[in-house]
Amino acid sequence: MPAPSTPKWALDPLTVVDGIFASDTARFRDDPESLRTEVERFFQERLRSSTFDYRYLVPSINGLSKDEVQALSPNILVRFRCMVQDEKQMSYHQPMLHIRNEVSGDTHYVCSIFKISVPVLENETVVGLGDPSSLREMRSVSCVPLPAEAKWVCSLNDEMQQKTRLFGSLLAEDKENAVGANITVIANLFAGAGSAIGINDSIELFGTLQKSTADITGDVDGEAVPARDEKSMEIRMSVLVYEELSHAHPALPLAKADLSLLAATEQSIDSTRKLLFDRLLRCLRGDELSTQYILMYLLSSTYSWTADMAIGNFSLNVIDIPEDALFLSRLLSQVEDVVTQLRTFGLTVANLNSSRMAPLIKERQTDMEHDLQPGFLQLPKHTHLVLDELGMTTGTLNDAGVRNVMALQRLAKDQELLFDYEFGVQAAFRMDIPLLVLSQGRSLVECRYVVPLASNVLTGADFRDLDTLSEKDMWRIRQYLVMAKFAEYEIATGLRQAIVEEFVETRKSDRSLSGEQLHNQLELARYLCISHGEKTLTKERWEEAVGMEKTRQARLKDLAASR
Amino acid sequence: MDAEDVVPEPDELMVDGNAMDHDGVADPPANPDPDNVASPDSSLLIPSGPAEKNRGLVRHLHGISQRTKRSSRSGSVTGSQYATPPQAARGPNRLNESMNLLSPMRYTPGHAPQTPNSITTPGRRLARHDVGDGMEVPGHGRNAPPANDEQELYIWGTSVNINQCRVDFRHFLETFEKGPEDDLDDPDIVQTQDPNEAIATGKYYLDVMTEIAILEQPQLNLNCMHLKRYNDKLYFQLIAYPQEVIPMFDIAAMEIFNERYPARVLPGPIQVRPFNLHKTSVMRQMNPEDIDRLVSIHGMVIRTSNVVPELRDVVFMCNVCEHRVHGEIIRGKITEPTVCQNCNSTHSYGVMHNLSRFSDVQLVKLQESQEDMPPGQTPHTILVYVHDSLVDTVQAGDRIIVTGVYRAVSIRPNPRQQVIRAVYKTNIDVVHFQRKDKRRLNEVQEELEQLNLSEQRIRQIETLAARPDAYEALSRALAPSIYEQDDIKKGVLLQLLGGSKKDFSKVGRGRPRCEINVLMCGDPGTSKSQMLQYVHKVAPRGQYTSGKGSSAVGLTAYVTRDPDTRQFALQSGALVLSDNGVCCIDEFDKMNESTRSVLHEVMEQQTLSVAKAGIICQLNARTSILAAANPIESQWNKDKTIIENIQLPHTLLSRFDLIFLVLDPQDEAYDKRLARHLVSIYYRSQEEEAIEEVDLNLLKDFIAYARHHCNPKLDDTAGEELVQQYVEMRRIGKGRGQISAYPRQLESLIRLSEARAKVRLAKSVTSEDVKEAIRLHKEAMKQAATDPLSGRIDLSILTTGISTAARQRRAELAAKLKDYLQTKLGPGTFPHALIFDQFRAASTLTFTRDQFEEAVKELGEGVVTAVGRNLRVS
Repeated sequence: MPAPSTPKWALDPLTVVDGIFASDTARFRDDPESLRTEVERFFQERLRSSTFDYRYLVPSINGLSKDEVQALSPNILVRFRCMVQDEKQMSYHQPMLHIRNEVSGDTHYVCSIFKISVPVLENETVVGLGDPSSLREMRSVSCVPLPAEAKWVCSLNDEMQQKTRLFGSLLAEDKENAVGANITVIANLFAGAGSAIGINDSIELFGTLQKSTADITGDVDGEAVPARDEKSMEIRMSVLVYEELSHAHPALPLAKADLSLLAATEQSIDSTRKLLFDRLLRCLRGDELSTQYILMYLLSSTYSWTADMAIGNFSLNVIDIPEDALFLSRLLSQVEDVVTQLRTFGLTVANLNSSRMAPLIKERQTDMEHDLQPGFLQLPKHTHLVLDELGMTTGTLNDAGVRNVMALQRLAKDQELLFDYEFGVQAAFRMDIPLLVLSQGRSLVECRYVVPLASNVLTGADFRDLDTLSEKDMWRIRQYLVMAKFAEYEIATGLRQAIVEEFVETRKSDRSLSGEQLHNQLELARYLCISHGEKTLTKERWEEAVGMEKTRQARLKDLAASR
Repeated sequence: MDAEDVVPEPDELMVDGNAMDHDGVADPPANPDPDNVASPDSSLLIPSGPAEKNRGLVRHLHGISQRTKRSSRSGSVTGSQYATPPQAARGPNRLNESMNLLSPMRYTPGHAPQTPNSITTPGRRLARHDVGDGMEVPGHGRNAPPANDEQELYIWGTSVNINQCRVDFRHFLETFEKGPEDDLDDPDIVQTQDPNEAIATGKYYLDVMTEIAILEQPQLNLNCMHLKRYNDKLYFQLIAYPQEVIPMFDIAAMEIFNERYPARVLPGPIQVRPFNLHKTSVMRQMNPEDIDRLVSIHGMVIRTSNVVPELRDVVFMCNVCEHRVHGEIIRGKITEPTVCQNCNSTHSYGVMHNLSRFSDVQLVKLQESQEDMPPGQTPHTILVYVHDSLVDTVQAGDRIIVTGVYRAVSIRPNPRQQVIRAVYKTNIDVVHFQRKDKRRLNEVQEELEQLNLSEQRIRQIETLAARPDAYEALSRALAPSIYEQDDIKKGVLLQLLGGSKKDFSKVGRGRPRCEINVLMCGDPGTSKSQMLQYVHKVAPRGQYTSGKGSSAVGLTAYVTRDPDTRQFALQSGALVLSDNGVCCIDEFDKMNESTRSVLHEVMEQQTLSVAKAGIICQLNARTSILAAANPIESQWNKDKTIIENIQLPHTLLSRFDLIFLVLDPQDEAYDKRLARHLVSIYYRSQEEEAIEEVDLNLLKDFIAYARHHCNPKLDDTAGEELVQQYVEMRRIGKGRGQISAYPRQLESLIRLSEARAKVRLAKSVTSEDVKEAIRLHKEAMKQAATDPLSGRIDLSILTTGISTAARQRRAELAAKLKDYLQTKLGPGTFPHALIFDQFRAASTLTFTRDQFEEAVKELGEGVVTAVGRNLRVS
């Protein structure tokens, strides 16, 4: 495919906007929302087609340092893959200006949407400036690059960007430091755009950069600026169009419908599952049960909440992990190779005492703004979190440590994270962070599923002869894991009744079976089903799940007895 | 101040001829110069003759000397307001003065046009209509019309005659009488006046005037609900055009004041401070339509800035000829004149700081209340500008209701630059603060949780309450994932609603507790913790702690040192934080002794005393406690009493109104429902959320509404019923040699019946409520206070730790022992074991060694004394 050259709409997007405005001024001047929709439609059409992803024609500012971003021309369209970290104070914006020439008395409309300021001529004034009926809400959110993206996701992103070779002209070539500087972008969304965006969402923004001068900082008198150098360096972006990233795989379609299309062409879900299962099995020394559970963990995603339960939450605690650094690193590297986002944390007393899990929002001392001090757990959905408790020793947790453990506990149980505000105000945010804890005994963080690792070392083959997979297989596994998160699922009608009756029967003789255990069985059955690419739970799968749970319970009992 | 009398006020330009007629003084000629009146922003700037220059300065000086007494008035631009001497109180002058009475919102030094004559009367303006700070408003829609005819001054684009507003408001002030309904919806305001002062004119606001005169505090808090009832139209004019209407109100108030108290001197003009609007807006629902309207918003102050002196009025003096010139502040900037008008020397002016005047400005940041925050969203904040006398009246952490003008202010860095800024920041110019909680100890009046329920929601709540099965529906909605155990749910529901608030402190009987405490104890795995977690989510200000992880300090309060200021600060613990809420304590049995002892005070006196690190105080802890405890042997031992099962001190136990014994419900139907529910979670599609009859939010709102609006009283039949039932309970107990009710239980019953009445949002407690309370009480107690030996309800288990039957048996044993010792053995010293064996053999009673020991102890020194391993019988 010939590398497409930078299209005009990406080089000068605001002219495109003006063009759209000019096409039907009479309609748009009173209805900025429809202008915005029109602009969004225009760019969405150009960014994607069924055959090619044109997003990569637009230069990305991910991985660039602040200085590099500031050096970019403010008028070109840029994109930014990011997570919404915080919300700034809302303001109003006048998207249309009715300008009158004082000399000639002529009036005309200027479209100021997507612009913070509009230059006018010396002898021009604005009619009805600041008239409440002409104001629209402007949402400002601060965004950070997607945290915890796996290496392969980053390099895939870069690769696709490189393909277009667009940056040759616009940017320096040294894109080697993929780690990138962590920039924060304040994204302004105009005329009611982005009302659906929530905190912790992953989104990709397309917009123009605003010139970062002191006059945008919001000071009424422009004199208090010197004290706020840091702030004036904030990167601000006027967002023309954005896309919600339903998953972080850069090369798969975002829409659920397109994904299921892909699934239809994918014939061999079972073989992909087997591929992944075998690799994990070797890492886990041949223990099939824990391999199954870890596989479920990789597929899992919390998708719904009832009054007191997070549905889909598969917090897993594998215990009896050998004290073998190699074991751990192999397992983790396997996981990182397949999931899109992974974060690990060494659960030790020192780490707990010195880190911050939940974000803290504090008032700034210098002005009336607030700052968000990032928390480790503020992660976008589908970020897999692995806690390594092997380094834990006895010791004293300080105040922060206790709070951190409580935050982890809440995450494991309810998939909720409390943001701390001043004066004890806390706001709960629903998360979707599958949690895996690797520990020797039962972890400090109580998980739904606790699986003791069996020590039957794989005979013959062990993890040493893990060969590198072909690109194609790797691709299949990654795609498999992404698609599993969107899989549909239901329980066959007959089976529903059977499960209920079975439960009632068992309870008659065995009171130890609790509702919680049934819930766990149902959850496991769901993932088991999905992992095989099946949409409906069958009796066989249900019995398999129940059997797995039974084995797990038996193992736990044995373990307790042996100690 | 004779000058005031002699020299006629220069700025006699009246807006209102009527008012002057009223004062019987001839109108001064209307300003013939239309340019001044019809200035672009329609500031009615009054030209003053050159002759006034000196006087103006004198007045300024006077103003400054007055400033030492109190902070400067907002919007007061001339010094004259400070110095209105009694004798200067002539009608037109008065009126004129009051024309300057600019409301707090008028702090902005506007861009009044420079007129050559305006030097000594700077900034005299009538209601002006700029959108905000430094914003150019050419042809802005709400500008007052260029009116030449002052008789007819309308708010631009409307038919609102502002003079009519003034007249109407005067009429309101003079004739408004407080009706009985006003006391109901009158929130507890931050009042400067003593409401009990007996100056009965019957006219509420005239009384307020009297208070102003006495206290010399020129603030008139206007309860907008009064105004709305009196004159609906005027109220809506106030809401829609506060910037024009409030100054008119000020004038009207000042007029009346001057008529009634012509000899009084006030430190400043009267400011009308409206509050209690018909609706309180939610921060996140504000929209551009609210701009420039009077709004009221509630939230928590999270930050207050330093008080900034804002230059209001500047005086330049020529260093060469000492010629003085007034500078106008335009968009926050003052241009220093370069050439002296008098001696033509250049760059000779300097600012006379002590002649210039400043006013106090403070920025307050308000954060929306937690109740208004939808899940998964960050709290919104808004900046509030505070002026003059309101400065420093609120502190960070206060929950307040702010009434003020919502503004959108453009950011304009450089007026000369030809760039139009399209972004507007919003803020509120405050006219009134109302504190939501005064946090006074033992105050009966519960802080008014401003409920933000829509009309529709309230209707929904009332419909729900009217349903005959409201009680069942609500209790079912509580923790829907926990099945059966309906009585526990009902108990918890009643706990959430709470009893009625009472205060007998005036008759010396203190304030009886209205909070209901509930203890659940029972087998592990019976969803006790789940219930706690649920209540923690539903309850207003619920706190959740685990007994194992709580220390006394964590429950009460602890003292920390602020790292920035090095000051000691009191940090509230769970009990204090759940003041007026529910504190859920899990694993209550695993709490250590010292921690539990703290609860004694909380559970009956509802306060907490803290004495630590130099801070000694008593904190409110009007909290209901919902506790869960496991039996000591992890499984409930049916052969033991509750005390033996959970090992809690009975003093604490008796403070619980309801004690539920939660046992694993061995019920097939229960199992079935549970399993169905769990299975259904997985085949229901993701979007399809559980549609409960009463969802969590409605339940929450219902509880909040009922707690807030409902304070039922016992009616006669209910009282009768209670007395009867109580007597009955005691009688039944007595007949069988047991006591089944104590006065504390009577109090519990009252609380429970009141809470039951709240379910119906009723004003009075009926005998039905009493019956249900008693049923529930019995139901709970039947399980909890059953004597395992007699199988009967026995509350003395709770109050003394052993049942009456057990005590009777002990006494019987002791008597027998005494008889045995004295008749069979006689005085002397015998080995302990010997007596035990012999007595056991001889006695008809069966007893254990422990019971024998107890009997020995009961007999005491008079009969038998333990000496080492021997017993000496005397």
